[in-house]
Amino acid sequence: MIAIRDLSVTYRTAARSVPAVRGVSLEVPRGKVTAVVGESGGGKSTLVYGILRLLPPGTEMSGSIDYDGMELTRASEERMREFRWKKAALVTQGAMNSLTPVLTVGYQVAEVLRVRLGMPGGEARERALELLAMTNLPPGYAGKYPHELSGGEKQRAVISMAVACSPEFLIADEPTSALDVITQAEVIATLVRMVREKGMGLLLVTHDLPLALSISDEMAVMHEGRLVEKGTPERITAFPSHAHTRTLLSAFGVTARSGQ
Amino acid sequence: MRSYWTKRVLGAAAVLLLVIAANFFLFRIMPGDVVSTIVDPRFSPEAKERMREVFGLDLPLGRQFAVYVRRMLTFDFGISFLSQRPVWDELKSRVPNTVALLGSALVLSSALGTWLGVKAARKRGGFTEKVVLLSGSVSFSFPSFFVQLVLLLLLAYTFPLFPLRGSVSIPLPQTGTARALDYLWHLLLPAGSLVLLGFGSWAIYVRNLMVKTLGEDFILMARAKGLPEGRVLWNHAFRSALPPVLTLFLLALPGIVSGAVLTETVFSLHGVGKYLLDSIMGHDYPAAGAAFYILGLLTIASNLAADAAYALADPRIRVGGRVQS
Repeated sequence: MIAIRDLSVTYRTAARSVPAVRGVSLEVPRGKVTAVVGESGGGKSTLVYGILRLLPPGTEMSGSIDYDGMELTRASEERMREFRWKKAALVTQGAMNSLTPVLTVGYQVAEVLRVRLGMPGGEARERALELLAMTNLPPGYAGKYPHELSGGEKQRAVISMAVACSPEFLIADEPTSALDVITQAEVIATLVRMVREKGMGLLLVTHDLPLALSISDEMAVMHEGRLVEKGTPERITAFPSHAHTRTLLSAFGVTARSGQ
Repeated sequence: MRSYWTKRVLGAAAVLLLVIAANFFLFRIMPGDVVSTIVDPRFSPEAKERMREVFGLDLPLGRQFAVYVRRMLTFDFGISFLSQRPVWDELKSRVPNTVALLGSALVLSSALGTWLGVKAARKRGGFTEKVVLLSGSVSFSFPSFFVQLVLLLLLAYTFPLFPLRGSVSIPLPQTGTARALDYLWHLLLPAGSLVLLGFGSWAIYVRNLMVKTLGEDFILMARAKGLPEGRVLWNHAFRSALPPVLTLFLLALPGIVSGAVLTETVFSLHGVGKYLLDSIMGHDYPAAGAAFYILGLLTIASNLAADAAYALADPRIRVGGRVQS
């Protein structure tokens, strides 16, 4: 379980400071899908990168993030490096260019296995092929460079990479943004299948309310850096308690009680 | 891929032809009459005419050019007007010296500059970054010969650690090892001065590229993967920034000609650049033309090598959108 308590994150520049996350508390259990929904600029990505402590230097964090008794906001950089990917892996935004352009896809998957798990080179290459196959990328893709892949294929390669070290949590930050609808469904199906098969916890951060409603066990609505609503998708659709939730629901054409 | 190379090689051939043409015509429109510089003005007109015939200067310009192109391509540079010896014999011993000087300077300054540039990009606002930015602008603002003369004055005259002039000691040391060390000793100051003048611009360029690359999504991803910082920095960031670094090689190469002429002249080195200057001063067409030609060849060859390196470093050039397995 990753338990976030009263977390605030403030970006500091020479000229001003911008609070991005304000007093957020959230629990992300293993084996379940937890979704955080909100509009762009609402602090969702900041929350994600806060958990992995990959925020730009000089960013201020207060509150606590507890992972099995380890306090992530104060852990040494060494222990954070150990935590990243082995305990919680990241699936980045679909629009991001998350794969290093000059290295083959197979190399990048195998690199994680070699460096993080100490797997010998040959074995890592074999295992990389298996991991790619799990997301329906045939063996030929290992020798390809990222520019030879479509958006959906890239995102599936990223998912292969994310599950490489069998992490306990996947943190997905807008995994389907900038993908077409069919590819979105494919990527989400792959993601959910991997999570269910391996009993991982998934923290899904998205602006796509219908998506969150359809796949999450628990969800939270984020607005201007605060969590304004938490609950099961059923409860939130039926009895939205915050005005912003109602706005979101109606914007997506979901009306209270009348169903999804 | 094939068209990439066809284009590069055809381009190189075209540049080579231009170099030959420029060599041929520029020397012939320069002021000053070659015959009058090598013979006494009191020679009879018949003797001068005879001289023109010997050197082929009496032929029509078109014929002269055709002969010239063929001879350049076969490295037959003719007889020097000044020394009356075959030009190629005189150049042959000088080419390795020029390659050693410019090659070592280019390799060392790019290696040092790259290392400092990467270090500077990693720690923004740190000490290394300040040194890099300062040294880069300083080396830009001093003329190379001035810095080299000051170095000579200090390190060869006031404190005679290095030789004042020449590529080797005279008489030559006896054993092979002693000769090699003597050669290095003579090379150190000229090559060192070029490194000193060159590493700053490299470092700034690499720093700027790395600052941009370190802001890319895939770097954030590499860090999220928990990879060690050195691996993130070199294997992911630098490796991705490498193709444009190699283009800097392309941009640095034309500097070879001016670098060779100035540096070899200041340090009185036995090289192609110094030979070029001496030949121009003496209206020695065959010699100067051949020296230009050799420097041009070196530049074109390095350009092609840089293109090859670029293609190796950037899969987007090497494997276009092509499917490979």
